Amino acid sequence: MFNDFIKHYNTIRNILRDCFLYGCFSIDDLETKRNVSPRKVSYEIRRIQQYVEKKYVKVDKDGRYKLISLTYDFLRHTDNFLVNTFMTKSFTRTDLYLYLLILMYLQSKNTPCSVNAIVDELIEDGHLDFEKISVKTIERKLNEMSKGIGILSCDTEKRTKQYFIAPDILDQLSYDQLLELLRAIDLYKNIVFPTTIGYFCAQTLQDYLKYERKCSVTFNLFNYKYVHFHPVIEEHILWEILKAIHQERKIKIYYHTAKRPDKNSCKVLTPYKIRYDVRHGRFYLISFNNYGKCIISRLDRIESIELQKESFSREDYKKNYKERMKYTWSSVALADGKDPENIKLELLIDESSERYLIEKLKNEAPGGKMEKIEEGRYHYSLKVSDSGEMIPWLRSYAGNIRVLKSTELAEKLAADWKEILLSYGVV
Amino acid sequence: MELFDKVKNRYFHLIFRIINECVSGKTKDEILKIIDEGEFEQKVIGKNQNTFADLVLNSGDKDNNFNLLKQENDLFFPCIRDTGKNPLPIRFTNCGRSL
Repeated sequence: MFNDFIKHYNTIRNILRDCFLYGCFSIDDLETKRNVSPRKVSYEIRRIQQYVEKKYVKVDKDGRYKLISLTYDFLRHTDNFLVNTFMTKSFTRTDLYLYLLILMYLQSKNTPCSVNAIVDELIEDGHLDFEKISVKTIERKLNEMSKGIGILSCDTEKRTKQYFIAPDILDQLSYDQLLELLRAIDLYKNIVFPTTIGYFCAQTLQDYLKYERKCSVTFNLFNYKYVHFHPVIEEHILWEILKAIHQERKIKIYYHTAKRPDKNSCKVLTPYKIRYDVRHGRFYLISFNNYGKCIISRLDRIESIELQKESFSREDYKKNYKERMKYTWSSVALADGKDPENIKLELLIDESSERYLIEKLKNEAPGGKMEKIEEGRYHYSLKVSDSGEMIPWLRSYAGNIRVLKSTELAEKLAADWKEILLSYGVV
Repeated sequence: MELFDKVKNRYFHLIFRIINECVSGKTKDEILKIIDEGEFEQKVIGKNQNTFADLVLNSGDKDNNFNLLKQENDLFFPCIRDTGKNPLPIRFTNCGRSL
């Protein structure tokens, strides 16, 4: 109906990530990386600029290239504006008209109605033109609204389906209780994944208060530091995986690698768990292939997902998951026949002011053993699947931590520091 | 229900609001104000250059008008009304209930 909207979220997801979030790809760069036409990229960029308010978009110049990025002050803006990009799915006039007309009709009735009763009365009152919209279309819409969306309920009486507005689950709650609920959703909508659903719930509850209880409520009580901002754009993939895990059904994923972002491969997997790396803001799918091999996939590299008919039992994978992920630092599983790496760190602290670092370290790297060597000097030993994953965390303890074991990790860290100091012109 | 669903489209919500606001009648200007507040900065344009406001107020192309509001004198009302209830119910969707 309006060209501004999109049929599939994937249409904008990669461009949103590469151009707006990383902010380091010009249109020409993206053309090379993703093998898409510059016209298509500029078209989608314009579309995204429509979805995201102007105040959040920043434009820089790199020579003749224009670099677009998002600017976001999480202490000033409590809401994650990327959620707005999920409110852009295209629709037809029939979608809109039938959805709202059926709702209005059933709301005006106090008894359940069959498809025929709905159609007959709507035609009689001149709301429907039988030549334009068929009974089959209305039946499909009613089915979608009851089974898919859940805004309607359906009972079968003498082999005839009877539709009515879904029961009001908020009806028994007092105004104060509804406010408490809204406050809780307002807090958790930026904490619990998928955050998009939290935003949808907050909107529904605000509408409920406004139209059912005649009280308009808007409040922003919470500010967040380090809010999970950009992972929102992976949430439609996350949602499909969560559904598959919940239903214990296998999935087929279409996936690209970092080296070949323009080429997709596909595989059938048993989804077991979702892991979220807070430091990098990345989701990982932990799954198993048909041979029982543990496969880790980054959600930002999954293009799409198809739910398979084949089911599985989570219990069958419990032991395997535990063995593979027992020593993981973030997302790397322990490879077949490989032992975990033994890591030993030396923690140097000022006992009078930095004692808290001992507990902090134990909390952030659980499962290790702390040993006091002397005043202000401690050794911490732990096992990990892949020590490379620890590097960003180790850097955050610069000046307090020294890597004693493994040599390889210590060398990697030293090389990283050297490169940083070189780029700053210090050495 | 998918997370990326048409019923969660910003304009679906906008017309839902308008219909519920019109329960006791709203003038054209009042409706235009609601649309102005809820629309994208750059207005969406449909077939035959009809804006969203044109289609809501049934002043656009005859076949494309939404016809969800009806005009009585200077006021607009929902096309099905006088039920003593809100024209449109407010319920959590399956997505919301699963949270």
